[in-house]
Amino acid sequence: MLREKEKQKRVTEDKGFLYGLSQSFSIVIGYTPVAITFGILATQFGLTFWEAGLMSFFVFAGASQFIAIEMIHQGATPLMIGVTTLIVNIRHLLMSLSVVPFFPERTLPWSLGLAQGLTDETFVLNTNVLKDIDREENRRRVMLGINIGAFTTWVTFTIIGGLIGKWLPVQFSGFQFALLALFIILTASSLSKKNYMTYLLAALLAVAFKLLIPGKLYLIMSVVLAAGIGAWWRGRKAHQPGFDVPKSMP
Amino acid sequence: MRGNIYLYILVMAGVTYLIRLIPLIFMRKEIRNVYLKSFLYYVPYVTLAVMTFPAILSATANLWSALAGFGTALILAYRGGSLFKVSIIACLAVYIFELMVWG
Repeated sequence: MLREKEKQKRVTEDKGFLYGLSQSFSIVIGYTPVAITFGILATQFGLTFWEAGLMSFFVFAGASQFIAIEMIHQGATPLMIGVTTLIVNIRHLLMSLSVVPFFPERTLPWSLGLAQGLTDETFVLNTNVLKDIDREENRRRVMLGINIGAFTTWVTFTIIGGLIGKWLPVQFSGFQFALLALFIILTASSLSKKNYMTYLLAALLAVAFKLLIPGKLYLIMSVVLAAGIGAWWRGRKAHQPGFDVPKSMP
Repeated sequence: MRGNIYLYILVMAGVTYLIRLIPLIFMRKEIRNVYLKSFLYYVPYVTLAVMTFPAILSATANLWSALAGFGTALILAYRGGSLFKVSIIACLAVYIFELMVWG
């Protein structure tokens, strides 16, 4: 019995890069069709498969890449692309801030490496997985594994999509569905009594803002507003006796 | 006519990478502010909602079948279904729902 427990303990302590890589499998399934679609669309908008792959490699941010290839095709200037990328991806600033508490003793190379892999999907999966891992060193390795699994998939299948697009004149739609299934699975595994109200609020705000405001600005607006209201609400409750901070909070 | 594609990629990569890197580089002190801590605690869940929500409503032929698919997927995922199983059954649910209600 005791040995069993020790074994269990060792298993949790040993979680590292390979564990992260295996956890990234759900993202791999979600990313594959989206990356192929991006590759195909990019070639249809006049990029070579190689340029599409380079963009996926260096940018690694799905939504902004889809928008960029369309804007570049329409003749947007680099400045316009830069500002649009900033608006679409500014939410990653909050995500990066949210993972900071997991790595109080990180070094510069780790920061440089982990930053590149931060996307919506890797962020949510990471926060889900990392909160159960005790040692910071292991958390870094697990996050690296998750990020590399996602990153490799994104780049590889962009290039494959680019090659498909080059030789086959296919029209692709409905690519979003695999990603949606991934989001729903992550939702089911991370929602609890403590946070479902904020989730619902964010969903409502996102729908409302999307209807009211053109472009992708609704993303950051609903994230900031819903998380802000959630924190304010909890702050009010914190002054009442009997309130306890959830364990999963980093 | 498009300009230099490498310049576009450089601009996008620079902007995106800096956004991701700045907090990791500059946030050295532990966050003590309770409000900020709660705020950051909610960010992942809120992000999930925002990424799922406007998109899912237009993913199928109409709003109601989208919600039927979402409900099915959520229940299956909650009960521990794999990504493959959840996706297939949610798609079936949408299909059957549309078939039944609108023939």
